[in-house]
Parts: sequence; C-alpha cells; structure tokens
Amino acid sequence: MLKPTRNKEVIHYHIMLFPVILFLVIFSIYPTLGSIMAFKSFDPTKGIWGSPWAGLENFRSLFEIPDFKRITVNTITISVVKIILNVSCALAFALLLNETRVRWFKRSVQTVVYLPFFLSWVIMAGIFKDFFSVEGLINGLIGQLSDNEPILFFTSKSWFMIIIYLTDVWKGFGFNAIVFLAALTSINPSLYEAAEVDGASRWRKLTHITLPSIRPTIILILILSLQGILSGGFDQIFNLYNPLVYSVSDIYDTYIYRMGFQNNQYEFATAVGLFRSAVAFIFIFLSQWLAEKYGDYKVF
Amino acid sequence: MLTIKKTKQDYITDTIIYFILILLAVTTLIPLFNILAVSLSDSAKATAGLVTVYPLGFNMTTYTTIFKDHAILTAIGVSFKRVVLALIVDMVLVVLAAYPLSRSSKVFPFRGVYMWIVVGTMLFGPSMIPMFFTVKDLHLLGTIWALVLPGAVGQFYVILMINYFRSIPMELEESASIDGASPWRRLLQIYLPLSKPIVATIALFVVVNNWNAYYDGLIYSINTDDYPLQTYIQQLVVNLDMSIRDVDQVKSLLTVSNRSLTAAKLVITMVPILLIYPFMQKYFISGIMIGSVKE
Amino acid sequence: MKRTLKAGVSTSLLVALMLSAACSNSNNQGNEESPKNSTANNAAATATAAPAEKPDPYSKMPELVEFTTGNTVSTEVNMPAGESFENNDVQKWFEENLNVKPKLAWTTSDQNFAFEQKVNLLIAANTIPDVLTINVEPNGLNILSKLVKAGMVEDLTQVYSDYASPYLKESMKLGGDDVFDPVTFDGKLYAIPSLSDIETAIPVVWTRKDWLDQAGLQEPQTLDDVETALKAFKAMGKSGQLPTQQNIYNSDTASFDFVFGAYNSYPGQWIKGEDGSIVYGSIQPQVKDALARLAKWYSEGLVAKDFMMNDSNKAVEAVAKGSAGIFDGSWWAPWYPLPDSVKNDHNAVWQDTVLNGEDGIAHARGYGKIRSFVVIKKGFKHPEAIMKVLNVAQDANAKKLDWYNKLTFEAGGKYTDAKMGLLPVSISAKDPHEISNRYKDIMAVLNGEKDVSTAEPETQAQVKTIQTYQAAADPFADMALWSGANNFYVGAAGLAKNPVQQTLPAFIGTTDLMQKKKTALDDLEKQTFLEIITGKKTVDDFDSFVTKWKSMGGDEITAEVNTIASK
Repeated sequence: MLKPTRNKEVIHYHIMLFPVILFLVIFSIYPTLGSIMAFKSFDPTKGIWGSPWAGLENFRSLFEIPDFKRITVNTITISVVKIILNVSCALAFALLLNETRVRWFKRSVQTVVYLPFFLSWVIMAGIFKDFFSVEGLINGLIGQLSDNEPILFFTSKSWFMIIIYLTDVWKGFGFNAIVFLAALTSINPSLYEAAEVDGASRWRKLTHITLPSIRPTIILILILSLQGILSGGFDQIFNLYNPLVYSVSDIYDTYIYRMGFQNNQYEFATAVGLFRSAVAFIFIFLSQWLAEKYGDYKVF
Repeated sequence: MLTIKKTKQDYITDTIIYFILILLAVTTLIPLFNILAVSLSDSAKATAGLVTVYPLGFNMTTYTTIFKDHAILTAIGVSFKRVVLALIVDMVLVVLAAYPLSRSSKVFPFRGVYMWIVVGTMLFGPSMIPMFFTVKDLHLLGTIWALVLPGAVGQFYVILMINYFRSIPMELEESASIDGASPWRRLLQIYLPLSKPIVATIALFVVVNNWNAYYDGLIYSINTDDYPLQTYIQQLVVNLDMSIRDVDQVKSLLTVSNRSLTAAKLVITMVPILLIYPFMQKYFISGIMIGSVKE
Repeated sequence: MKRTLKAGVSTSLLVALMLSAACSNSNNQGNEESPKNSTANNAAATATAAPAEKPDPYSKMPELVEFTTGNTVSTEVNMPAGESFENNDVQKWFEENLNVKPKLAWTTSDQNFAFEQKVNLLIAANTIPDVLTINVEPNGLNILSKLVKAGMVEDLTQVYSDYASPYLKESMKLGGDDVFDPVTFDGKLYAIPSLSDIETAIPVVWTRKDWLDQAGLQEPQTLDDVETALKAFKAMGKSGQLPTQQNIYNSDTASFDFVFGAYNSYPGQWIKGEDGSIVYGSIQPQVKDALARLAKWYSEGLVAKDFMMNDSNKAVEAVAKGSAGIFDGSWWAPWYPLPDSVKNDHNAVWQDTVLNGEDGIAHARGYGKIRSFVVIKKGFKHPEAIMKVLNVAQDANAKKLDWYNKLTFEAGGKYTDAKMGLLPVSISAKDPHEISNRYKDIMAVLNGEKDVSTAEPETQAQVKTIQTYQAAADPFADMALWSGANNFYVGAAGLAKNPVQQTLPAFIGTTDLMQKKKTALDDLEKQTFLEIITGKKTVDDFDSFVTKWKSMGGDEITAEVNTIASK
C-alpha cells in the first residue's frame, strides 16, 4: 500500500542530496585527487596532471629528514598525553559536577568552563603569551609572594610542555565533559537508591555504581581519540613555540610548515599530507573496530 | 527520589566539591579578565606587568584607536559577512543531506553509497595546493565565497544531524505521510521544528569555526581588504622579521606596538563569540548529546 | 528594433569570444609557449631590423600599456582620501608621460612574509602578474630559478641593452662586474636587480646622549662601554637591559648583530674562509667567543630573561616608552623605532655609532649585492614599457626628479607621509657606499665647504629637508620631517664615526641540498645558540655543535656551495 509513494519519495531524496554531492565533488573529491602531485615533480606550467612523474622520490625525502624520528616521537607523545589528560580531567570534572544538586550553580559552572573551547588558538596564544610572560600575571604573583626569580615558562623545555598540556586541558576539559555528563544522567537512579538503603558511602557509590556504569563511555572516548594521534594540535603549538623548545614540541605539522615556508616544496608537503592521512586512516579503522568491539558503538 | 538525611561528612564533601568547581570556573575566567584588564589599562602600567584582573589607570583609548582603524574595521566586516553566509549555506546543505540519510536503507536504497561519499570525504581531505587551484579556477579568489564555499559541507555536522533525526519518533512522520505530505513538507514542518537543539548546536559550531579560521583568509585573499579578522590578528600576534635594505623601504614601517592595544584587538575578536555563546549554550548540550550518541 | 537585435547578437558573440579566449588562456598556457616565443623573437628581430627607430629610454609609448602587478600594504598606510596605488598624482605622471599604467592584481600584508607566500602560490598556479618585484630575502633567488626553469618569465637581455637609460646602466656598474650574475641564466638576463645599500646591514649601537651626559659617560666605543652604560642607566632608575629579540642575528633591530660583529663573526652568512674557500659563518670559532660574551650578559641580567619570546617590535617597546637607553639597530632607526621614543619624550637625544671590535677594528656584516629584482611575465607584449618605467624610477630614487621630490620627499609633500611606495614598479641602483658618501657630501654643503648648486640632486634634496627641519617652529609637529632630517643628520653620522670593515657574503641563495637539510641544521643552530646564551649549555658545547652540524649534512652543503660558486 505504501510502496509506490515511497518510490516516488526516493526521487525527492536524490534531489535533496544533489547540492551536497555537487559541493563534495567540487570542493573535496576533485581537489583530493590532486594529491597525486605527491608522486610528481611539479611543474607550474604543466599543472598537476601534466607534470612528470617522480615515483616515490617525495616520500623518500620525508624519511630522510634528519629529525624524522624525533618529530614522530614528539607527535605521538604529545597526542597521547593530551588524550589521557583531557579524558581524565573531563571525567573528574563531570563526576564533581554530577555531585552537585543546585541547578543554577551547575548551569553557571558549565557555561563558564565550556567557553574557552570556542575561542581560537590565535587568540588564546596571544592571551597566554601575555599571561605567562615575565611581565605577565603569573610571574607578577610569583614576584609578589616570594623572592623567586620569574619563571621562564616558554623557554624551559619542561615548563613549556606543561604549558602546552595545561592550556590544552584548560581549553577543552569543559567541552569534553559533555559526553560524560550525558552518560552520567542516563544511569538508572534506582541503583543509587538501593545503595543508599544499604548505607553505602558516597565514595562506594562512585566506585561501585557510577564508574562501572560509564566505563563503556570512557573506553569509547579513549578509542575515538586515537584518530587524532598524528595531529598533536598545530594551531596551539605553532602559535606558542620558539626555537628553544623545538626539540620537545616540534610535531609533523609545525616542522612541515617551517620546511615548506622556507622552500615551498609543495609536492613534498602533499606527500607528507598523504602519509599522514594514510596513517590516520589506519588508526581510524582501528579505533572504529575497537569501538565496535569494546564500546559497542558505531559512528558511521 | 528518596530523601536521605545528610551526614556531617556529606556537608564537608559537598563544600569541598563546590569549592573545587568554583575554583575551576575562576581559573577559566582569569586569563580572559586579565586580557580585558590589560586592554583597558594605561599602557605603561600594562607593560610593567602590574595589571591583574582589574584595569590600572583605566582608559578606553585603545578602543577608540581601534574604531578609527580602517584595516581592522574592514576585517571585522569581512568576518561578519563570512559568518552570516556560511551559516545560511552550511545549514541548508546539512539539513538537506541529513534528512534523506536518516532514512533506513530499506526506504532509501542508495543511502549506503551517499553515506560512503560523506564519510570518505571526511576522512580523506584535499591538500592545500590542489584546493587553491580549485578555488582559483572557479574564480572565487578574493571573494567572500572563497571563505564560505570550500568548507560548506560539514560531514561531521551531517552525521550529528542524522543521529538526531533518527531519535525523533517515526510515528510522527508516518502519520504525516499517510496524510500525503511530501518529504519536503515533512522535513520542514515536522523534523526541523523538533530539531532546535541540534540546529542551534551546529549553528554554534559553524559560527565559531568560521569566525576562528585564519589560514584560508591568507591563502584565498586577493587584497588585504579581503582578510577576515583572525587573519588580520594572526599577522599581529605571530610576527617574523623582515629585512630592510633600502632607505625608501623604511618609510612604510610600522609604529611600535603597545601591549594594551594588542590586548584590545584580542578582546574585540572574542566579543562576538562571547555574545552569541550564552544564547546557543542552552541548546547545544542536549544537541550534542543526542547527536553523538547513537542507539 | 533591428538595430538593438544586431547589437545584442554582436555583444553575445563578443562575450563568447572573450570566454573562449579566457579558457584557452588558463588551460593552454603551456602549449602556447612556443608561438609566444616566436612573436617575441619577431619583435626583437623587427626592432633590430629597423635601425631608423632608435630605442628611446624615456619616450612615450604609442598606445596605453597597462600591466598588472602585486604589492604589499602596510597597516600604517596614510594616503589622501580617495587615492590609492592605482590612482594618485605619481601614477598620473606615468600615464601622461610614458603612457604606462599599473593595475594591482593583488595585495598582501607586509608582515610574516605573506607576500612571498602569495607569490609562491601564484607561481604554482601559473598565474603571476605581468610585473613582479621579489626580494632576495628569504628565498627570492630560489623563486627566480623556479620561474626561469618553468619558462614563466621573459628574457630581458635585449630589452635592457636597448632601453635601459645610460644613467641606470652606469649606476648598475657601481655594483661591480658580477652584479647581474645571480639573475643571469645561460647567459640570459631574466631580471633587473636593485642593488643593496650594503651599509644598511651595518649594526649600529644607538644610545641616549642625554642620559649618558647625566651619567658622565662618553658614547660607547666597545662592548665593555656598552656594559658600563647599561649599568649606569640602571643606577639612574632606567632599564639596565638591552632590548633584544628571538632572531639573535641578521635582523635589523634589537638583535645581537653588533656583538657578533665585534668578534669579527658572521653567523648565518656564507663567507670567504682563510684558505679562500667558502665557509659557513655560524661554525667559525669567533662565534664561540661572541656567545661566551652573550652568556655572560644573560647571567648578569643585561638582557631580558625571556628575550627569545620577543619579536623586534616587542623588544623596542622599552625604547618607545623611554625606559631603554641603548639598543642595536640600523642607521635608519630615526624612522623606526625612534619616532615613538621622541614623541613620548621630547628630551630624548639619540646618537649612534659602530663599535670597535675586540681587535680594535669596527667589523660589520654585509648584504649580498642584490636586494630585490623585477621580473616580467613571459609573453607580456611591451617589456620595453616596463624598462622605461624603471628608468624613471631610478631617476626618481636618485632624487633627480623635482616633481617627484615635491610630491613624495619634501616636507609637507602630498605623499611624504603616505607610507606607501608610489612608483608603478621601482628599482634602485646606487653606489654600495651611498650612505656614508652621501653623508659626507651633505655635511660638506651644510658646513659651507661646497655650494648647493654644484651638489648632486640627492644631496640637494636631503640638505633641503634638514634645513626645513632646523627652521621648523615645532620640530616634532611633522614626524616624517623629523625622521627624514635626522636619518642622515644623526643616523648616517654613526656610520662615519669609525672606519667600518664590512664582510660581504661570499654566496647567497638556496641550493638543492639546502632545501632538504637546512631546516634541521638551522633548528639545531638556533637551539644551541640560545641554550648557550641562556646558560643551559656551556660555551664549550659549541664545539660539539660544530661537529654535529658538519655530520648532519653541513659539510655536504658547504661542498655544494663551493662547487656552485666556483662555476
């Protein structure tokens, strides 16, 4: 009975999707095919398609970078630490917030801590550079409270990495907590009620009910974070770093930017992009597989 | 819910929890208040590092200077135009994509193919040079559309919206389709009115991402008047040295920067986000929760 | 009715034609190369075949020649209302007298190498404007070789020999015989270079004379004197710190160039070694001594603890607001950053000099002979028109043109404070020692040893500026006048106080190996130098840096540089 109308409807669906697919073909698929220039020796007058082939030359250059290993280690370290810190801080915050019962207070705290997520790193870098500088607020307080020398936050390797992690958490913990808060609200209240009747302490409720209930969400978030493991956060590092901390803070994107900036090796940059995409692709499928297996979650 | 009498220990724990949360909120706000205070302070006091969270030697000269500065006003204009256009184009495309894709493959047999295109393009993006060629060949360089169109289909938003649409009970739609309503009418009259939270969430993301983007402004511009605000600010905040080799060149040099003025420019750049954020906030928590969780 | 229909048809035809022309232009540029080549050759052939039509470097073009170009725009631009680069009195002169008119294809910010980035993108997209001026720094010669290899720029050999003015040719010779080498490929000239004012590279030490007088000190002559002055300023309640920035060398303002110079060391520059081969300046032992001195200064608090977070603009904030009384700069500091200092404190009196080095000689770094160059897009119909503009530009920059001086140079001129270059395309070829020679000439006139009327136009113009400034009721009313007058009167004086020995680079440009390996080497160097200065590493770690630098590809690059240079 419904069938014929539905067939007619399918045409409407195609019509609805037409502009979207058109956009994707023009601004995504077509230019993505241009990544073929990673295998070419680019000649501007011949364009991407007409330039002569260069085989894997551009990829070989990538592995020949003297600092390739160091940058790889940095990128992965920075990503992993950021993932762990972000997830644990967001979780801790969600749990604390979940303990409060005053609605307006909850709302206000949420409103405030989500805010930094929406401010760009260009802006935040400007603010933090000022905030942690020798004349900045933090060193001003240190100077007033003690006779200690000002701390050079941006030039000491260890302090710099602390700043990188701290500001990353500062910017993201509130927003990352949203998913946990969602998971927390979906826990069946009767579990708590039963525990209270048994006279369980708050801590016991936390460890025996709350955490086990949201464990799948935690695992899921950790797994999904794997996808960004080769990025490490270009905007943040690029806008904050300096030569003294290159050795600990250089990631693929910042290094490539400096290299490309000096030499304008576009084929090379594209090769790096392709390499990164390929590795990211593997991680994405890995994380999808893990997410389905352990988190019972399917994104697509 | 059962009312349980609180023990003394509970009160202590509560106090600690509230204290920590207030502390977190304060920590979040301090850098923002600090930069605001610097922007409103006397330049000498600001440079001496004496300003904390309230202005010293309060004055508004930095802001009056900015509002006489042609370059920054132009950049603000470009950014606003970009955000408004992106909001319209992106929302239309996302809604149009999400509705058919939220149907089951039984109703819409080609769903899988389309879904592959959407997800595939999300995972494999183009690199800078081919993208630049595309924008150039379409004669978009230097137009506002170079900033709006290339990122107009947010695949991630499409997925959020699909999930949200799927959370809307099917019965509502079925009764409408028996009434003979076309898919377009069902989308506009049933789905969209029920989807305020996700629309608000995506709108917030679109506004924020477009407002915050700086690199495309540099690449796709033809004139400095095409720079959006973040591109303009980035040129100020990150600064590489140039080399002067001729007396005639020095005449166009900048005047020396001043800390209060830079702070004021940063504040100006944050204002629109600070203004729209509270309004969108109340929707976006529920929007992102339903959108990202799939049953 | 019939008529309108016809008109409609022909316009649509025209549009169709234009469209197809545009399409073929954008798609087939590569294929069209050969016919274009042949027309260019034909043109050259007819030019030589018809000797009756003698090329005139200054004649008006028979028809209006429009050309596109790109430019940077400072945020400080201060043009009269309604006027722009394309529309102003200077442009009008060129249109009326040469029948040549520029059209701005694009502009970029003048910060962060945004211009160079745009140029690179446009080269990749094969859409460069008709005329382009490219700076040698940071990688202009590399760009030029790309352009030549891709056949995107016109061979200018014939145009230069036929149409360059005798004055321009003669001025170019001041740069030496090899001045065209960097822009010549296979014996063909592909760009018209501008010569560097090499004395602009000399790092000078600027000090506040009023404060030194108060402290009873003379102008510093050595690094030790600089230390004494800094300590004296601190005792007076001023800043005892030298304003410095993250680029510790090869930077115009607030770098440590004067310290490296004092030790006769030239980091970042390829120089002639003792054995005559080319060596890299950063790994020479003299650099170690300079770093030792800087490490001492850092530990004593004579430089800011977080100087490496500053750019030059941030570093000189202290100069502008009147706390720092000593800084490293260039002779043109009266344009930047001194105006901000004297605006805030009318009593500030600045002076500059080149320090005597540790061996008693005033050493200084140098620039390559070329600072920028002009290229013309392949297939542009009238390269000779551009050459004519360049002839006039050369005259204008030598202050030989009264109308131009009145508009852009003299006090109160319409564009004197415009903060924008107004020549359609510019070039400048002057004696590499132009500044100190000019200074002597100006002083000779001011002291009455020489009659103004016999002096060169540039001297006359500069003298007039200084005299206008001296006669002004309020010397700070017109800051452009203040800068213009003090530039030579005070700034250039500093170059003449001590006889300066400049070490010029023995090689400029980028080699293939550099493209691959130099980023890592530069990172290593920057990091090591900063770590030594800040005391995180000892001065002796310099030696292990040198070893590492060589093994990481430095030796290979050095060999490559020597091979190229010996050709």
